[in-house]
Parts: sequence; C-alpha cells; structure tokens
Amino acid sequence: MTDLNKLTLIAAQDGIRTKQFSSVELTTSCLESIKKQEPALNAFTTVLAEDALDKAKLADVELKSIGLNDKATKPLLGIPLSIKDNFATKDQRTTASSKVLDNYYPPFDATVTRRLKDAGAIIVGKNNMDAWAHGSSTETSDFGATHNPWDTNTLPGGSSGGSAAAVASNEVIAAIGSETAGSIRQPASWCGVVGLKPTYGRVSRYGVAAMEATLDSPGPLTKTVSDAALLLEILAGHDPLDATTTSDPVGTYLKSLSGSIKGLKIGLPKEYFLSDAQAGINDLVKKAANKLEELGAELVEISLMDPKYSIADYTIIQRSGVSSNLSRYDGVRYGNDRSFFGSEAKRRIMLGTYALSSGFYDAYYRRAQQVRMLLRRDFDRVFGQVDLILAPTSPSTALPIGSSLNHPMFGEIADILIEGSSLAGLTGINIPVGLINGLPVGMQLVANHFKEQTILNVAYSYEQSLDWKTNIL
Amino acid sequence: MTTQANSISDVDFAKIQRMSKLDLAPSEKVSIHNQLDEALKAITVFDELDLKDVPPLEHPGGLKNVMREDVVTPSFTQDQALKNAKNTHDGYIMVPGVFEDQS
Repeated sequence: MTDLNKLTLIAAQDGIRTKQFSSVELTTSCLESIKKQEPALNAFTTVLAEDALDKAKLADVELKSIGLNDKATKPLLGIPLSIKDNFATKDQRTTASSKVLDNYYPPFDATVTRRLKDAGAIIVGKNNMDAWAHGSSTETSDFGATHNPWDTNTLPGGSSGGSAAAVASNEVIAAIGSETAGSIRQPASWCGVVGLKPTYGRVSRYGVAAMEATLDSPGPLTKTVSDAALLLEILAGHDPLDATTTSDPVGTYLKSLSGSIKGLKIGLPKEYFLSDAQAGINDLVKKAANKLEELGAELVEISLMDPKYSIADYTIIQRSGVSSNLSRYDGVRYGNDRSFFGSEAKRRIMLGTYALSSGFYDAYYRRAQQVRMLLRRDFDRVFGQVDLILAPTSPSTALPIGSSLNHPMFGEIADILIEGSSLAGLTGINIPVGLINGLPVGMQLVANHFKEQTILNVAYSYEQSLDWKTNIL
Repeated sequence: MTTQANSISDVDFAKIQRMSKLDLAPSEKVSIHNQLDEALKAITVFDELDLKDVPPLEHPGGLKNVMREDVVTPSFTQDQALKNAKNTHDGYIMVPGVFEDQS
C-alpha cells in the first residue's frame, strides 16, 4: 500500500489493528515523507528515525497479541506522531527551538509525552516552533523558519508551526502542540488542519517549557475532527504533577461525536468579524455559519468586548509570565547561559520584568489581571445566551516569510481573535472552511470550560457536510 | 499607588536589565527600549475601562491552594541530575561565584 503517511489517525489505527499494514511500513512511509519534504519545510528540530523504526518493530511484535477489534488497548500502538519541541522527551533532545537548550537531553518525559508513549505512539521527531513559543510565525526559531506546505514562500503560523506543517504535509499522522493564546489554533488555520486548544487545566503542563503558567494548554493538531477527539481522550486527565489539572472525568470524546447539532445556539460576535480583516475571510466564515444553520443550529448575533482589550491584556500577562519562567535558565544545571537568548525572548523578559517590578506592578500586572476578570465575565454573560461562539480564527491567511521580523506586536495582531478566549481559559478549535488564493482559511469554535464535546460535535458536523477544499472564494 | 508611564526612563531601563540578568549590545538597548515604549502605548486602552471594584483574576478556573500528601517517590539518580550540567565536581554542580573576590 502506498502513501500510508496520508492516512488519518483513525484510518491508521484501523489499518494497523486489522493487519492491513505494519507499524514498520507506516513509520517508514512517514520517515520517507519527512526526508523528502524537510529541506523545503523545516518542520522538525530533531528527527528520531532510527529510534522510531526500532520502536515500530517492537510495536509490530506487540500488535500480534492484540485482537483485531480491540481498539482500547494501547490505542496509538505503532502510529507515528510528532511532538512540539517544548515537550520534554526523556533522553531525547528538547530545545524549545532556542539555542539556550541546544544540547538539552531531559532526564524525564513530559506527562503528555508519557501518555502518548503509554498509548503506544511512535515519536518520529520534535517539531520546530517559535523559540520558547514566543510568536505566531515559527520564524523566531533559532533553528530557522518553518515553511507552510501550501506555499513555501509563506509562514505556517505559530508557535506550533512545525506541528501544523508536519500534519498538513503528511509528514506524520498527527502532532502535538501547545497553546498559550493562539499557538495551536492560528497555525492550524494557516496550514489548513484541525487544531484543538483544550480548556486550561484539562491537559497537564508538566514537562512543557513554561511560557505563562495560567494560560498554557497542550493539545492535538490533526487531519480530522475525529482524530482530535481520539487524541484528547488520551492526553486529558488529572495529573498529580500539575496541580492545576482538573479531576473532572475525561469525556468519551470520540464515541460521543455526534453529527446532530439541532437546537444548538451559536453566537457570532460582531466585534470579531473585523472590518480590516483580509478580504474574503469574513465571507467564508459566515458561509460556514450558514451551513451550520442548515444543519440545525440557531445563529445568534452577540457582542463581546472589543478584542483590542485582549491584545493589551495578553501583552502584559504573557510578558510577565515569560520574565518569571525564563528566569530559571542560568546555564548552571542544564542548557547554555542567558547570552544565548534571542532578541524576541530578551524583549519579552524585559517588558515582563518591568510590569512586575516594584512601583509598576499595580499599574500593569494587577490592572491586567483585573481586565482579565472583565474578559472572563464578558464570556460568562455570553454563555448565558449561546452554547458556543463562532468566528474567524485569524484575520488573514498565511503571510509571506519575513512578515514577523521587526514587528514586536506581530503575534498579538495575528492572534487578535483568539487571545480573549485564552485569557478566560476557554476551549476552542480551528477547522478549515475554505481557500483564498490557494491558502487555507480557518473558523474557530469556542465554548465554556470543559465543553470540548460541544465544539467537537459542531466541528464534526461541519466537516462531514462538505469538502472544505472545494470551498473557494 | 498606581504609576503608569508612556515611556520607560533610562534609569528604569537599566534597572530592569539588571534584574533580567541580560547582556544587551548598545544597538539592542536602543531597539528594545523603543519597542518597550511602543508596547506601553498599546496598553493605554486600559484607561477606557472601569476597573473600580473589579477583583484580579489569578486563575481562569478559580482554583485555590490545591494540596496533596507529601509522599516520597522515586526520583532522579545523581548521574541523571548531573547529566546536563556543564561543570561538575565530585558529584556536585559547580556554580559561578556570587561573592566578591576577597583575595
């Protein structure tokens, strides 16, 4: 069988369990795809080819003892995935795409890494990202920019740009990213894949190079909504190593996927359909909303706080977190010293240190936390009227390589429609809805805390209703 | 006491650089200083909001003081803990001196 790398996660799982192909064949197919495309894409900081093939051989032995219809035991057994390079992988290089961690080999696995390994996944490599996840372009990586597979002259978005590009180009079956405010949804939008940002606290942050401790949320980037549902089931759950994870039971997201959205109320915030968005974006997303109406949902016009407040709020909260979290990198216990920080990290550390410093704390950090409360209350009010919110994910399609350089607020503008929901800790998903000039456009669906099933259902019902790639403006 | 500025003074810039433990080239100082001033202007929109009596949101899910039992669990071996350190001596990590040279 050819092109096994193009399979969805669900199809790969089915094929491997029913012995249509082996893990070695599937893994080889992905590794060949990586070898062929990496010179143009640079979606990986590290490829673990040899180790992946060794693990695939072991998986094939183990698969012999698993029944054809048993999908519950080690659900990812033998399936090649990749992980963003800010997740610790035991004894395997973990850089967060920064030269500070150029030769860091963590002695432990992040909880997300461990859960994937426990489920049998083959980790084929670590994905490139904006250094320390500071950005929305993946061109602030100290190991060179990742290029968008739809047009290699454009950016993949970020910071999980390597993960999004690897999935979009079929280098892997699926990938893991992390989002602080947009870092899953925005690259998913620019690369035309599904990206799920779970509720803060749904997935453990243990072993993820921290950016902002009250925002960071790991999640899947996948080819389909079903794939995202399956991965969320594996990633989610309480972790004693991350006290902010919830003990609320994990949903049976995949089994509960329902195409029926009858009676669901979907809010369209008028402030999120920006008048200066790229031409066509708002139209394609409204067309998708109308499709959902046809499928039984009720559309409601709503009003949310202007996203300009989210940008300002996120700038202060995020920089403060960066200043605090990057203070641990001293080059003594591991990694290189602070002279290895790139200019983006330095800029963010400096602003955060200022916002947290004595004499300025009340004016900046504390006020930002108060604004964050207003944002949260604003969403609470809206969720009294509607079940979920629908809006464009990004105000543009993928921008040309080089766009982010010398624009200190590039990421904030690219993520203007996402930051509010992240600050409120909500869950959101990007799904592709069409193409403008050959580049994907994404729609985001946002719901209240722990309502992952709601947005998965709506995304699924949309996905099943049409082939988004034929939706051309 | 609320202090809000639209630009950062040279004295404050030097202070935050010291606290951040970052070496900056002269050209980098100028560009970062300008960018910080630009970022501060961007957040003047806070002035449009009524924040009187609004409590700060410290955790999006409202969690407070999560406790657990203090139990000893297996941890790193000494070799593992030292593996990534550049300077070690007799099973210890060598750190840069923090006191002035007394000699």
